[in-house]
Amino acid sequence: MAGKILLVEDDPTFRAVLALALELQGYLVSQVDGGHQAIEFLRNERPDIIISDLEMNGVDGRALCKYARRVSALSDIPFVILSAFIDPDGTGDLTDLPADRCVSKQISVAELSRLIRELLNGSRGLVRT
Amino acid sequence: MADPKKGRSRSLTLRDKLLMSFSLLSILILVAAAWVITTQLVAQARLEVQEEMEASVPLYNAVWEEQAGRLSALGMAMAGSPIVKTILGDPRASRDKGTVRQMMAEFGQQLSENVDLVLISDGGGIITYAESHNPALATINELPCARTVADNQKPAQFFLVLGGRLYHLMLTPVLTHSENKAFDNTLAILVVGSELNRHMASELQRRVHSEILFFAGEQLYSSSLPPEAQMEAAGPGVLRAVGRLAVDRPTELQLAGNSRLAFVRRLTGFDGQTVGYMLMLHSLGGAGKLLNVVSTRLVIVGTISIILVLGVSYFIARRVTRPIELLAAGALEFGRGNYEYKIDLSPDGEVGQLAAAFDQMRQSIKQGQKFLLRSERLATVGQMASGIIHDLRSPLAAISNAAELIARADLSSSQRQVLAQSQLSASQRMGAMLREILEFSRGDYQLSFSRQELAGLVGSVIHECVDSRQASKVTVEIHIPVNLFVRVDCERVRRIFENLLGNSIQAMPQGGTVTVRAKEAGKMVRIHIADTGPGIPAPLRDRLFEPFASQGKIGGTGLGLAIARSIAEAHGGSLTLVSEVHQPAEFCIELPLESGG
Repeated sequence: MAGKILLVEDDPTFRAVLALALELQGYLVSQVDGGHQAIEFLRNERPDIIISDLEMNGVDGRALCKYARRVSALSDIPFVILSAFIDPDGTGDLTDLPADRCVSKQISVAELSRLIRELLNGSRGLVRT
Repeated sequence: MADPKKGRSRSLTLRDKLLMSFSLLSILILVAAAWVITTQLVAQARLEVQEEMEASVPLYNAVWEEQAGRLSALGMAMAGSPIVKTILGDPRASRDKGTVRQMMAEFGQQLSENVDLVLISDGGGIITYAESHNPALATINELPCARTVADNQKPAQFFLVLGGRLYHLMLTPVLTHSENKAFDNTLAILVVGSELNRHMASELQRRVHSEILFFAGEQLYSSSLPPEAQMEAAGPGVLRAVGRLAVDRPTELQLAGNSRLAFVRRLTGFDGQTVGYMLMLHSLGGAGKLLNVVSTRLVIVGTISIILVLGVSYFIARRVTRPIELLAAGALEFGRGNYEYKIDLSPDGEVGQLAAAFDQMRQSIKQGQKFLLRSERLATVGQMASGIIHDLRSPLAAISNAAELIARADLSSSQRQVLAQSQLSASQRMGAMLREILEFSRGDYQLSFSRQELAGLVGSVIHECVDSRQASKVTVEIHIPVNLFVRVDCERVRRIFENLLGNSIQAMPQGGTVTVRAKEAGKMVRIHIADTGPGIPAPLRDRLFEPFASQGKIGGTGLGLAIARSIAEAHGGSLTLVSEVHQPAEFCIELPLESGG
């Protein structure tokens, strides 16, 4: 069954490609280009999973993640951080984030799909990859 | 800052010091030489006079001997004459003036020469006959010294003041043999004398070539001096000095304004006491005249020499110090960081060599600077390698994701289109980023200037380079006069506008306005780019134009503003942030104006 993904990413090219990739997997993808717009979106709709870039102007991924965790209606939505700061082998400096996963931007589509499936199937928890 | 050649006006330049040293030294040498010459001259002249005087003394002695000799001979002749003996032996005849006068007439010729006094006394000193020009002698009846001579029966000569006059006397006893020849009888004493008068003094002066002065006691008696000098010589000061003079040795004396060399002889009386003095004077005035002439010549020559010395010193000093001044100017410029200032000196001599060495140093430091700057930039780039990697990840990820998907068979053509376009734009972006980094690390721009209409240039940047999706929410207002031209490297300057406009648009994701204004300002054009966004965050303001200050921005390496500023400065212009804290961002670019419409 398809899930609803909220994709928060300010790089339009990357966002377009990733959105298409996820749609081809069968998901329903809503795209916003910043944290601010994400918060707006989350007022009206509830996605099944939030995938967000870390570095953005205005409200960045970090702020968005913390916000999502504080709002009780949103606190149980799986949150994935995509960041160019993280190396493909997974090392990075994001231990303080209350996100479910922090992955590199260079993650393959296949990997990301598997990860999303995992999270949607309920294997949550603050596990870092 | 002051012209290095003028230097610090309070302290002396090297040239002044050299000039002063030369001049002072030369003047000292000249003065010393002049002094040495004059003193030597004076000493020599004095020596000559002294020698002359010392030569005069034997001459004087000779003259005097001659004089005395004559008197003596006369006396002897008279005393030995049988007629004289006969007359003087006869008591009656000897008292007869007429007889005696007649007797004297025999010796008339000899008597008239320099003989001013003739006396005859008997053996007891009583004067029996006197003939002279001196009326005062009439009162003198007795001559004690004659008695002594009579007793001694030997001739004597000495000086005596008689009747107020100073005489050189020769006393000769007239003897007669007694029958048994055991002793002689003195019949009478013959006295002949010369007065030491002006005539005598002048005679002596003529023969001896010195002025002669006779002093009787402490009084000036006569001299060969001209009347005014004689009057002065008669003054008390001179007489005192005379009394103090060393006898028989030439000594210096001041008389009538002239320095003279003086030689003194005592005039002794019968019993050895001092009756008076004979003073021989040699003028040193001749030496003085010579000295004056020489001094005048020396002063003239000296003055000319000093002027010449000053002139030559000036030129030498200038020649010597000019290279040093140039060197100092070069060093000063170098110290200011001006590595282009070449010191214009030929490499001759020590200073030239120094200048050449200095220039070599300048060249290598200039090279070193370039190298250092380059290294710094490379180091910056290297430091930020992780940053660069970070910024390239997004587009790279987009490309690899798109590549992963593009092979799928179930893509619609529009989806395929999206993927292809994404790959293209992502790789273009990566290319632009890499180009930015390369340009930044290279540092110096080889600009090719051309005349550009500013309004057109800015307009084309807006149309071509701004991302359309975001730009649709943003209004761009251009207030640039139509005929405003700038002299710029078109490609590079576009980058400045791309960067600033891009930044402004990105800062206003909800939309806003970007205003571009331009106006002339002297030789430059000032362009203001202002947006209505949130402005530059306070912590970023100080580091805004530094490389990688705004890391993580989309589409940039964080080098954009750094590059934009360095392009502006390479044109001789500038790029500055003019908005205040918490205000919307406003930048000011200055570029060179191209005049003419």
